[in-house]
Amino acid sequence: MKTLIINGSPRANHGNTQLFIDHFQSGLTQPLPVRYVLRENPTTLALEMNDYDTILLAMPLYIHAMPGIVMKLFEAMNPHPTNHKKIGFIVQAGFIESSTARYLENYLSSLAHYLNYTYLGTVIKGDAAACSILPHFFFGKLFKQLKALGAEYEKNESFDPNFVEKLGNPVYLSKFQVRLLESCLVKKLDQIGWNWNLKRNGCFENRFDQPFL
Amino acid sequence: MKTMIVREFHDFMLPDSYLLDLSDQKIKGCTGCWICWWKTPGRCVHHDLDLFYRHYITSEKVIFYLTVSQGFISGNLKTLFDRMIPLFLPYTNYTSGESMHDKRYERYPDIEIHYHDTFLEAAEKKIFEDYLQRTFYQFHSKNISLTGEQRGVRK
Repeated sequence: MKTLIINGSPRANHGNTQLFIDHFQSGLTQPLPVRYVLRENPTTLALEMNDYDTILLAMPLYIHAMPGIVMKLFEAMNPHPTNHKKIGFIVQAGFIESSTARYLENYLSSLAHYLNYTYLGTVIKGDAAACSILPHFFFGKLFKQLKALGAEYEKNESFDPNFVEKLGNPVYLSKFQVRLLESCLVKKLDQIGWNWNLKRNGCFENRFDQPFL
Repeated sequence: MKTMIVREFHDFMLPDSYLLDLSDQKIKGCTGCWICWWKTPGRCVHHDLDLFYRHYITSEKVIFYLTVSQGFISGNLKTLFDRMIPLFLPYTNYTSGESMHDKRYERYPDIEIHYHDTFLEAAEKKIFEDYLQRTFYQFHSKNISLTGEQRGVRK
């Protein structure tokens, strides 16, 4: 079975999606080929995807859905004449709760059905925005889970539902989590990263600018 | 009432309104650089949407005429949505019980969406409508309406 990994990030190999792919691949005995939507003509890539039995498409969540470049790839795809092809998705998101990706998940399932692919499911991980910014030891547990997801994929050619569930937690924020996140201390911690970068770039005082009024 | 029109089909136009014709203009892609959040707050590295931003944020209503593409919004419209993050702050609030980006501006326009209904199934249509409702809720618009029209065949 030939599998192709597609990186759907507008940051190509420089962002969180690439880290997800690298750690997924670390669980495999044979690395899988990776193509980058950003660097490809969507029509050509869509045609070449037909040479593979399974497509794994990893992407960041942008405004509750796929980045625009990934939608352009989907637009170039046609329903496959056989029903032997499989497709699965790995989505990494900034917000904590994975429910923010449920609109995308519903669409991906519907798209796979329309394109005549067997849908392997969508792995969703929230709270991943800082993966490529903070030191990697902050994300040790996540990276181990991705490695295990890769190992299980190589064994069974599917996503292990246990890892899908673990990575998808929390699906929603509990009332306790909301109170905690809204507390002054946690809110300040939440803003440290943004403020540090704003200060580093000399524009902290301009952070609330409204340039189009 | 100041109104802006964003359209992928139809020739509807109002006098003195700003038109973004997506059937004609290909939007430059979001690069995921976050420069609009942490280097030039509120401004994107690309400038093809500067007029759009100005009219969007000063309009009381934005009317969309949208095509359906592969059962979803088009790649060009999705690119436009990706490029709208400079209109919001990077900070997150949880007061609604879920994560939302804070407002950068005081007010955001009401949204009226008309779409060319080429859905194969009711479930597909629900995914499309739910997504658009959610997107403009996240974009802090208070009133959002959706209407399918010109029932047609999917290409």
